[in-house]
Amino acid sequence: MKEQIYFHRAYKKLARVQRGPAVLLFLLIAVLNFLFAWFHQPLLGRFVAGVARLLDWVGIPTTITTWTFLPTWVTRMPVLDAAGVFPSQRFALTAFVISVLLVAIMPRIRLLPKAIRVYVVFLALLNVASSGFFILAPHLFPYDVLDFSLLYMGTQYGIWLLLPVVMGVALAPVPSPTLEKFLVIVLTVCYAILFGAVRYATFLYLLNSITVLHMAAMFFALGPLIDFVYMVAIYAVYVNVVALRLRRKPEIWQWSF
Amino acid sequence: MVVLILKLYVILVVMIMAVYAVRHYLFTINRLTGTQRLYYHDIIDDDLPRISVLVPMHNEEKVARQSMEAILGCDYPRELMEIIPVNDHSTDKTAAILDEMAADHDVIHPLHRDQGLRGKPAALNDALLLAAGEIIIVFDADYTPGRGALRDLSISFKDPEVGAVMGRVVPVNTRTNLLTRLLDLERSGGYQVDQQARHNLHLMPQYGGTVGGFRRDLALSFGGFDPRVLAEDTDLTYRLYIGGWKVLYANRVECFEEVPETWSVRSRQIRRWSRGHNYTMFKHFLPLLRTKYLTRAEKIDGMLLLLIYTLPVFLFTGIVDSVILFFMGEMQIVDSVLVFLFVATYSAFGNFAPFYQIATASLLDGVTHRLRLLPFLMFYFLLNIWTVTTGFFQAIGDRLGSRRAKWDKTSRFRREETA
Repeated sequence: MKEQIYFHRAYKKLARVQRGPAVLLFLLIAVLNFLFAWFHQPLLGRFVAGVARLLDWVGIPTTITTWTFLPTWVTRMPVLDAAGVFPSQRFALTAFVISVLLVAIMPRIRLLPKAIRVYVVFLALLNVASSGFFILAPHLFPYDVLDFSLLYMGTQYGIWLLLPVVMGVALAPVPSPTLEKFLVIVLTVCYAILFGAVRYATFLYLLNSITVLHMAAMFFALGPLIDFVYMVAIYAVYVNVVALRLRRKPEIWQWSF
Repeated sequence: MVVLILKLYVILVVMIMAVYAVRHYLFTINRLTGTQRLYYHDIIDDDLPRISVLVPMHNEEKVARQSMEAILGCDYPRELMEIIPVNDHSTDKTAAILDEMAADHDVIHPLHRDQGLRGKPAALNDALLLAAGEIIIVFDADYTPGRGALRDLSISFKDPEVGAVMGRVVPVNTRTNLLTRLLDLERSGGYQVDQQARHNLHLMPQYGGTVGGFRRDLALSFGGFDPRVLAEDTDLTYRLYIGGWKVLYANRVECFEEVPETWSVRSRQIRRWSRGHNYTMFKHFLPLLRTKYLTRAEKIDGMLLLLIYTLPVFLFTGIVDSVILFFMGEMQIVDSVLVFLFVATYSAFGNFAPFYQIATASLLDGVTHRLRLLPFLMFYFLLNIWTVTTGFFQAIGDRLGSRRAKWDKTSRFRREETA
């Protein structure tokens, strides 16, 4: 004889729903983003200085340049400039051939899961486009390291502002304490800042020591896409913790109405 | 001018994705906190309809016997049911297995097809002509229905407005590998939240063609299934809604299926769905807008559902657009932020259900550790984008030309120990 019969999963729902905690969560996110906007100068300054120190440690000299014409409240954006290696015709041709070969061969390598193969083909196609550009019209390539830096920093700052909002929307319905959810959001943003710094340093290192040919692949395949992946990963780990906790709280569910 | 058009297209793609993100968020909130609309399974009636259970099979020797045994194990009165497994051009032992089972059980009436078109719609059309039941229940060959499934599905037709009903699909080979675990998460999001929320909100739950039923007379009045359509279930769903009928979703009626265990089988399945669904989209988009039987909310939901397999096409072209803008030096900061939104949404919709919807469904299902696999869903969104996009262009070819789509059977992975 069962001591307790739980609700069937088909029609169970949360027993107690209040709007107050969700409103509080978004108020906290608004405060966080306000602080981000208000203190963007010292934040961006320290971020760029930290990346510069990291690059200096591995022997890549950089200079901090400040852009001043941005049409938002971020009127001054500090970015790093470094020397970039412009690919020779021979290098571009080699990259083109290797990338085309990868596009052709990768679908036939059955050892790798198809999803990974498609991702590699995506990377290779970006390099095909990029190396083709450098073969046909190298003088028209619109970016140097400074331009790429500005693009990267602008994207990073935008992501730091958007991450809390996207996480807040996703976490709002999760049945757990509001302050705990806010803490998860703050930790995600902290991770985003650290990860962004390491990635910025890595990108500049590659542009300086290998070539600027891979800018497109860096931006499209290793840029905001990766930010979204770790955001979902942190969300998933947290919801897993909540799910385990809910197993000990059957009273949180009710039947249908 | 070109740059402006390219930028406007990026903004358009972001807006389309945002519409779907909001739609699925509303579904998530409704399923988690709203009043749940119960299905009819609590109704107990002795006056059950006569049913014919159709199971299309093409080379299904791995699953045929278990499928028949599961249906025989259902608690539906034998005198009111018949089982018609449709052996559709099989070249393995399927025919022999079915004949052997028919010899042991009077209710099994196999239909052997070795002439005419191969494929599920054509097989169902032939079986419909033989079927004696007023209600047709359809299972895929790898499906294992629960004991009460037939009774629960057929009871809904006591409601004279109901044209079709769909139950919940639950993967049975979940623990095989990463792909099957991810598909389990995806199915959970699609049924536990998406279908049930649409049922709750009186929108347009979909007849999925694998664990469901419909009225035989209705299907025959439509001229049967269109053999050119690879998504005969979506086709029937829209024919019913446009004709003033309702489709119900029965979340309690769970049926266990075998999901693909390899990426190549999965990509072929997705391509087939895309081709069929998009063909149906071209066919029903305008009639859906014109029908007088649907509310505005139902029409909007119906359109968004019809367009679901065009999203990856928008995303694919959006990526190409963004790459062009990048090489033109036009990827300024505002666009970069848009790209994040764009990526965020397409990462979610490469899998047809956003991560928050899947997480909510998993919470409701009592799933715990599998939730940590959510970020791995990103690994196959590019695969989905590619396969769905190719399926979309195949559908255009099917619609414009006289090309006839060939039914691509999903491979089975059943092993002896699980059989």
